[in-house]
Amino acid sequence: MTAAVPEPRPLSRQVPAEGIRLRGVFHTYGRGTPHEVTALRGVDLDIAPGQFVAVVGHNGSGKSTVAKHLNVLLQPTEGDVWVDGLNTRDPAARMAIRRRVGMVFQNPDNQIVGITVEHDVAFGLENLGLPVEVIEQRIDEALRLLGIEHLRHEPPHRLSAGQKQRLAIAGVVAMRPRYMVLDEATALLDPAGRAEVLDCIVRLNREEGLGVVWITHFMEEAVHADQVVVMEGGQVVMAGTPRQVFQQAEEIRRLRLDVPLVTRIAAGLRERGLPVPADAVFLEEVVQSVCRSASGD
Amino acid sequence: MLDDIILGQYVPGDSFLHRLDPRTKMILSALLAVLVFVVHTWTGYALYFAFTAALAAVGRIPPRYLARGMRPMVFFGVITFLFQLVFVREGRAVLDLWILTVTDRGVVEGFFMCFRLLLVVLVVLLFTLTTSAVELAEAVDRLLRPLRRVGVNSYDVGLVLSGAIRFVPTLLEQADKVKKAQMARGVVFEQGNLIERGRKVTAILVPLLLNVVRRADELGMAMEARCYQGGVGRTSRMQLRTGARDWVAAAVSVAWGVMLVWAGL
Ligand SMILES: Nc1ncnc2c1ncn2[C@@H]1O[C@H](COP(=O)(O)OP(=O)(O)OP(=O)(O)O)[C@@H](O)[C@H]1O
Ligand SMILES: [Mg+2]
Repeated sequence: MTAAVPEPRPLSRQVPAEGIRLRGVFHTYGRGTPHEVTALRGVDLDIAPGQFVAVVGHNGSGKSTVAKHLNVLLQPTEGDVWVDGLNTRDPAARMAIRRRVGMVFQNPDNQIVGITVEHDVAFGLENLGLPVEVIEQRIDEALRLLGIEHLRHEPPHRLSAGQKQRLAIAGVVAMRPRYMVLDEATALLDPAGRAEVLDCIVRLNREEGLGVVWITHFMEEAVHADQVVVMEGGQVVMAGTPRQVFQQAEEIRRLRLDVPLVTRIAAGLRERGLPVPADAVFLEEVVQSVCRSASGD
Repeated sequence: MLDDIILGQYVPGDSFLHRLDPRTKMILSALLAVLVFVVHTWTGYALYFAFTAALAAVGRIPPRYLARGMRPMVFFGVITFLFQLVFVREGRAVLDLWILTVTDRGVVEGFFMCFRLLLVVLVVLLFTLTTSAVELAEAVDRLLRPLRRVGVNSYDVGLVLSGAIRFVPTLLEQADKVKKAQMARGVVFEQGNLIERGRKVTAILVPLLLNVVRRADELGMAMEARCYQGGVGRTSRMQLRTGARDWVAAAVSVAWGVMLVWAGL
């Protein structure tokens, strides 16, 4: 890919008022060095406020690179990223964008700065320059939302992995972002910890209207999403509701990914002639249609 | 050995020492540390030790805990002692071993250097055990603030310090993991001569160091994502207050130091 030089240029005009929008985003790591890697090759993506978007894709498909574009940790080599109408290329908008888009990474140990739980939650708030009373209030609120009030004075190394990750999320939630990007935030957790963290995020999405970008290798986690985005080779190759995406089982397998277990079971049942919907993603709907056909006979 | 490194492991409490303004504690600790190099008699060291012991009592730090913290330093103490034995030539010879001559002066200097080292560590321990990393960072930031005019970001310095402390347990855990991984491959750490042991330790340190670099990189990114911009426009949750307590502590320490120097101890 010969990318155009990303020299200062007029910021693009077609600015959406709300939501995150990526248009023709290219990103090349180590440009001009022998280690040049083009990680993104023209990504278009729209994330509406309050939407839960799951991003899946094979290792190296560019998921983390996209994530880092959403709060200006990386700049596009070509193309544009807007967050609520602010272009990430605009240096003046950088802090405003970071306030809007929170980011949680895979390893909680590498994002916790504070010596105790409450000090860590305070870190981002202090950076925002909020008055002390507001900071205290926001700490209480965030700890409550994530269910870790009782750990308030604990040092991070005494927490379980799931608790640490919830702390990392609390530190971001306290800053009251409109969107939150979680890059494989559950990858290092055991099943219980994973469920613990996902439940928190789903609740924040439903109850607080937090927009969520959930990057994961676990297809089961993607069924909760409003939109599933599949990446491959630095491009978005599929996007749609979980039902639309997982219905295309062949295509998904070609991309070296799995469809959720429930979808696979549903497909198997259909092959044997049971009237199970082809786009099933929840266990409950499969169970119900099987029961209905059993009692109907 | 790794478990013995308690440097920087704050013991929560509300003793007189805990409640001192961290800036006061920091300045007084620094003065005390300097004083240790002025003292040059047995009585002087005995009094100095008595004072630090009293401080430990005031700070309600269990002596056992302190002793454990000092344990890794004993090795360096012994080295320092031997070094003086070998290299001090003045004084009356008390022992003649081939090319080595040990003088009475050497023995005394050996003890003194060893005391100095251990006492300085003791003072540092007393400070870190009664000062939380947050207070430490805040104190450093405030004390170095005048240096902002010459381009030193005092907030960053404080943050680096508290970050180092925050990561001590994480790194120890990591070191332990690497060590166990090596043991699983059949490495026996308690065996072999000094060189072999050194090689085994290196096999732990290298992966550990790589890990630190990667960690630092990710941590930097996570901090930036949380709107960190080097303390500019930042508010601080912690309010430092100097009170009567601080003046008392300062007066007592200074008076005691002046006395030691004045008495020529
Ligand atoms: N800092 C970097 N420097 C150079 N190349 C990089 C860097 N980060 C990522 N890459 C490369 O960019 C490509 C996309 O990486 P990215 O981390 O975005 O993938 P990913 O989808 O997040 O993968 P994973 O599932 O393994 O996390 C990969 O080929 C990777 O090797
Ligand atoms: Mg990734």
